[in-house]
Amino acid sequence: MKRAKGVDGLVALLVAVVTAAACGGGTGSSASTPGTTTKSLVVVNTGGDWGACQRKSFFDPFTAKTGIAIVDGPFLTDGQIKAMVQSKQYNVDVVYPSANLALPSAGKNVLEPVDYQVVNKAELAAGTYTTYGTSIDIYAWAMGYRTDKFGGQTPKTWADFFDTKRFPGKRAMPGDNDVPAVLYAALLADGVAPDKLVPLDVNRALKKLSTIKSNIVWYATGSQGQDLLKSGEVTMGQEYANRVTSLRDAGSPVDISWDGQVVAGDLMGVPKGDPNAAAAMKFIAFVTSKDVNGTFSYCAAGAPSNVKSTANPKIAKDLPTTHLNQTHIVETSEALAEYVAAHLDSITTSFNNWRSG
Amino acid sequence: MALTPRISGSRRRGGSQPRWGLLVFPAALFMFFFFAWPLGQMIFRSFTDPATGLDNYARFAQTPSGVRSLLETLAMSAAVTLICAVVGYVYAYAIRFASPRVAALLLLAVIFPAGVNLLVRTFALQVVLRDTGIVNQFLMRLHLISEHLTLIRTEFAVALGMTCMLVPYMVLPIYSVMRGINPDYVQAAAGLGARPVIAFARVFLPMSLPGLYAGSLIVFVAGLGFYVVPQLLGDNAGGRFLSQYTADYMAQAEWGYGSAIGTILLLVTLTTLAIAARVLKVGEILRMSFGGAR
Repeated sequence: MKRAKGVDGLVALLVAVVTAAACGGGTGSSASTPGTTTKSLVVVNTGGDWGACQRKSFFDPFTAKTGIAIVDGPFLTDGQIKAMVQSKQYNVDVVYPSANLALPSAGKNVLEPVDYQVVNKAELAAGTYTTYGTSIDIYAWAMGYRTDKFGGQTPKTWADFFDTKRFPGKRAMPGDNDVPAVLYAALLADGVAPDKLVPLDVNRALKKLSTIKSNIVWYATGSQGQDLLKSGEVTMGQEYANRVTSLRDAGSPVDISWDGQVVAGDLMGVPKGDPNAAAAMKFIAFVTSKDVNGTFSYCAAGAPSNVKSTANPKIAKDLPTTHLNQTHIVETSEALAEYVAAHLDSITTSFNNWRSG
Repeated sequence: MALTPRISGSRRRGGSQPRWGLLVFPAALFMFFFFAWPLGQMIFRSFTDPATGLDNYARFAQTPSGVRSLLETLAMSAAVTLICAVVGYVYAYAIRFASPRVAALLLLAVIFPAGVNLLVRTFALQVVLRDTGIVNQFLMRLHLISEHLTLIRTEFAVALGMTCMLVPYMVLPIYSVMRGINPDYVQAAAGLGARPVIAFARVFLPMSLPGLYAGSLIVFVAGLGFYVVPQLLGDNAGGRFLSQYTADYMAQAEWGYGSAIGTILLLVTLTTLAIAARVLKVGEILRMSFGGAR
């Protein structure tokens, strides 16, 4: 280096940069060339108790069985998944697409079709798998409420959620996270039957939401919603069900109502063209197999998507699947997801215009 | 410090060392690949994705929530700039005329928090401001209030949070300019019969204005890009920042629309800078406040 003339060094640098820029599109960081054996897979891990439980029940056992190491990857939005596929930089091999992206129409340029020769879909719950995504667990948006604020009265339905006279206080809703779920809750509260949601009457939902607009606290992440309920800033919230039950178990004066829960699956998918796709399919098959899928419920309140697997009997009462005899909506069902995917843009815009008005 | 002017001065002396200029090359290359190129792509995309034309811009103009968040972003940044200017000026003045030990302490108190992660500080403010937070609990325990005050999720909370984050960028340029002002001038004014207020307003203040302008510019432009503070402290029902509005569409991979919004914000920022440059002779001001006035 010492002997190299300054200019030579600069030329070398230029060549290196240009070469890197020109070839950068070729290979991703985690990717190996197709055909070679996969040594490790990068799988989205969203962290928290949920992520730790996934590692314990899914990731490590998979490594023990196949020798393929699982590396924690960051959560990617649908936009980021698309960008990754377009630039062919496969940094994550197994992603969580939204139910809308995993549909045949939206997914075909972005995701690999799930190999249902490898994944046994016969054992999976209805509405929890699509052409491009397979649910590894079932979660729900449900109503969480404070038990210390209503003088012994217990809210049960979404209609109660909108009744700020009987149940005073603020309401947490995931307006920065899942706008359709907010609208479903409003429509159920307004008396729409769960099977009559499509086509979604956005204006009716917004009109209902207007009745409590000044009471709503919008939040973005599950932990924010949980925190609002825990601190007592809101007296009720549309929350991730597991976030409410874990608060209750930790001693907070909160409880959950399952009536009108919005059930959804955590879909796993594989980016289109991912060089580790074959191993990724094996991973999805492993995680959704009947012997493995239920073990997750021993460390987190996520219900198995494989109906043949056994869930932890101790937390059965806290699993969304236990309460399907009550009113509920399956967000990942094809009918609903298909409609939302086709109209997401106008739904988001209408909601935002209403919200900022 | 003393070396800086000599190096940059070599060019003006018609220096015989053009090779020094090559030193800029790696940095320029870096800036081209990692700044100019992506920025150009963004602007290009705003006119071409999904179709060629001004569709994305028309769409923004026709979306009330988008326009409203642009106005909110501008208004809040302007308000925060004003607050920072008042707070920052007084604070810098205090540092300038405090004893060296107190001055060092005061400076440290500005610089040290700026080193703590913005997210952490915003969460801390959440704990302070919320309905069941420290302020409300304290006031209720003293029986000064019976119902909690609504502090969080208001424009007040956003302004407070942004001021906390941005005030150092106001204090430092002002202080830097103030340090260069010879206190003898103020004394001379007093000696000629000016009352302290007059001496300050007619002599000290005008000389310190360049620092105030420089700080205001930095605070305003930085404020336009805020996301975390309005997201965590703001009333996101009414006043959402443009960055929050854009996030919705970026998550849905609407690159063209998102790029158009980015381009609009860039244009607004550049326009602000252009006006400021014209009115305030910005280059001179920045040189004075950061080159160390003498």
